[in-house]
Amino acid sequence: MDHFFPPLDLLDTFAMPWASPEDIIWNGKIVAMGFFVCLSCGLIGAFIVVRKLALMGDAISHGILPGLALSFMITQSKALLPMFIGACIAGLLCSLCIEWLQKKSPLKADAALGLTFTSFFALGVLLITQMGNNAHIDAECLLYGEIGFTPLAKNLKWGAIELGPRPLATMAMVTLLIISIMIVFYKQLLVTSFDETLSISLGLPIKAIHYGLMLLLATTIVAAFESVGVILVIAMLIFPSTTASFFFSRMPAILFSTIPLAFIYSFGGFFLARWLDCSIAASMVVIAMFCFGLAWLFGPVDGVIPKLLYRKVSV
Amino acid sequence: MLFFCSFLLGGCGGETRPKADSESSSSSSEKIRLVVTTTQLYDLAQRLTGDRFSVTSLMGPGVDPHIYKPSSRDILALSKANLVVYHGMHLEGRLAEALSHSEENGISTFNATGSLPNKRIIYSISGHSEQQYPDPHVWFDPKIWSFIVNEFTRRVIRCNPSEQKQFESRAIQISDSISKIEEWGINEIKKIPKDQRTLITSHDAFQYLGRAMGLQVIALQGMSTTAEAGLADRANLVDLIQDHNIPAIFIESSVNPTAIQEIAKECNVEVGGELFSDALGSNNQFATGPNGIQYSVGTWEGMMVHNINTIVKALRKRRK
Repeated sequence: MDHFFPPLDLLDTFAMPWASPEDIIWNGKIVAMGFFVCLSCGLIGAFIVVRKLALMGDAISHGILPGLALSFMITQSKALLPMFIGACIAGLLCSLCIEWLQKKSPLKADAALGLTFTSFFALGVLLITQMGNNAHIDAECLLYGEIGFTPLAKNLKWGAIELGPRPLATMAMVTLLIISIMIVFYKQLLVTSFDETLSISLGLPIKAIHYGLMLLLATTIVAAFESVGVILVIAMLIFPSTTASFFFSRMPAILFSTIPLAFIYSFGGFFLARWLDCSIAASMVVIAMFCFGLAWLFGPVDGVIPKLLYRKVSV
Repeated sequence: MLFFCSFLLGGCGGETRPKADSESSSSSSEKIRLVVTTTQLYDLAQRLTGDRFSVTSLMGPGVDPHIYKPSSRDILALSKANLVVYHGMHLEGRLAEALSHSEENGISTFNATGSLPNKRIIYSISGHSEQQYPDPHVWFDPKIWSFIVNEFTRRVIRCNPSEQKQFESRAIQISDSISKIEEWGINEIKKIPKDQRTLITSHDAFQYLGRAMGLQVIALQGMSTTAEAGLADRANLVDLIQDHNIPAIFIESSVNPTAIQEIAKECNVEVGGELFSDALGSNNQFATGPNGIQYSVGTWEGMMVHNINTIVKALRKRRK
């Protein structure tokens, strides 16, 4: 058992990462990366989940592989922009295909989704094998990123100003983009998510908003996958808003609670990984899982225990 | 003082020649922290620096460097390192990619194969593209490994110039030991009948060994340890084994053995044993080398001796 759970050394786990300025910068970058991933995914995930598209993140994140492969094939480099464009196009195509199959074929939504993204992923794998084994991109680097490498990454420069490691700077910018879009288009997003008839009668461009959201989702996934891997991106899309929904039933409250949750996930995951000496990104999801479990048990809105108590009182 | 040292080391990092870093940390009570990636480099670093440096290895015995994933402590070790030594040539995959930019983040790195002369590198074509990729498994060539020992020694001396003599004498010892193994290995391989000097393994790691020792090397699945062999590759290999009367094929300690075992069954040949390909073995297993000396398979010599013994034993037999 000791091998599985090493004794918890409080000082080593919690204090040592912040012992010197270098440590703070190094570990801070890792935690900040986790925070931005959780925050951006959590915010966009709140809308994805209420639209009953929770697995769309799954679909798009796998669907981007052929886009990555093709852009690598064309440009022969892993430059950020072409990769980004390729992945976004593939992600959008994937979501278009899903819609189209759903409407034009007798398939049910879940079958259409499963069919499309697995085909996209398979195409991507095929393309990569055709390129040769040493192409430096593979399905694996899409599925599992490594958040611990964040402090080692190349610094992104904007003119003379250093913006910090590339993945971190990109993720921070994507988070800002998401927050600003949410502020500007909040009403439209909210109405189209909950009430289709109302949004039609208000004359809102439902399709445009839907694809806008999908594009934003694809952007987030592309920015995040290299450091945390798509499986954790999917987790972060779904966990924050579902956890918060046990505490609040109104959208603004759910969106705002993404911030403390992202904080808990990133720091909690970091410390858990330090204690158990394991993958940081996976630890973040384990922490998210614990939070969800607690919320489900004790959450005032539809939590298991409050529900039992309420029943007793009402009888 | 420690910060001061690491700053100096940061300054002398990479391939740029240092101007003056001679006052590095010999006066410091704290040891220089060296982090190495692979088991081969760990063995080398430990023997070269003795107890003067504290050496941490990211990968343990039996870990496949192509698919290594760092744990939280590995990341910590990297952040604390004065010098990170990596193998390069894409052996470590994303780790080396991440390390290649780390200079600007204040971490000195040393690419062990960085100054290897191009003409000694074996290039292989992989996949369907015309592009050629350098084969990273250079430790199987004793001459190249000696070269790396010398490069490594020079780099280590730059970190701690006051002990140049000790490092150099250790490097000579290691090089002598390498050439002894080389000589012995070439003679051992000669015990195999000439038409049976074909080594068949799962992934393409032994080209350098083949070149150095006079073996033809054929691998089932190319350079990648994770790619599954295509059906055609497999059929070709089966034909080849049957046509050439090859008595045995080999599995590797860090690669899934299933495919090779199946092929061995199909062709009715022996599985000749387990070879160490991408990682050394553990320190408490031994192999008997030249003059009956016992080498731990956790060392380069032990790994070579074990592999050569296994190959010779299995390939010497005539096929029934």
